[in-house]
Amino acid sequence: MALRVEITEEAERDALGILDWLISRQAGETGLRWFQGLEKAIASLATFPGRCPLAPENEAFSFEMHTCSTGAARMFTACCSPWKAKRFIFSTSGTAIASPSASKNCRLLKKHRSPRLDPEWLGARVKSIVLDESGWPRWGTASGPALY
Amino acid sequence: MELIPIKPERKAQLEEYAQQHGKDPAVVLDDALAEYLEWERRDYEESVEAVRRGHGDVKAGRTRPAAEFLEELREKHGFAR
Repeated sequence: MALRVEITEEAERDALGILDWLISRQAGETGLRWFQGLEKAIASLATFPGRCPLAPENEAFSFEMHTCSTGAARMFTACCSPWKAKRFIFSTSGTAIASPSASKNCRLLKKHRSPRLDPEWLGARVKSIVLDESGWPRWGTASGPALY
Repeated sequence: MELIPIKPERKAQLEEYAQQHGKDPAVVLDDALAEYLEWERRDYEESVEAVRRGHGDVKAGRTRPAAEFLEELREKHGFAR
């Protein structure tokens, strides 16, 4: 069963930032390749959401966060269960897609030690969680049915 | 003192770097570890905070289908289907 993938406003801004930056500075098809990678990553998230290990950040939340790399994006997903039908993309791209002159991105460059502008390391860092069958996030809300 | 083994090639890199910079290998190693672990700590905290903001977006209904967003990107930049 394919899950419905939703993207948060912040994740949208981050993805737009990456793509605009790539297109404004890179000749060739770097932007297109990044876009295709993101598209593929989201499709994978919808189809095989539970294949990734728990994210180190998981312990900070009451809901499960998984992480994996799918080329264009580092995906953070919730565990896959048959009753879950929807998931959200969160972005943590504050560490991944700042402008190249920003300190955070400098740290990224330093960490990865790669001058390449390929999706493998410049990709959006996205996180996701799932809704249960009633349409509420697994962690629940004040009016939602699931409180974990 | 507890000893932690490192790979021979890493040791060679460490010693080469230390020699080039006129430093003690042990100092270089400690500096590198400290910097890396601090980077990881900050990265972790920033990630947690970003997810919390995303959680806020979700609770406030500030989401939409990712497919819709991808389609807008495709149109904006003229990417072929």
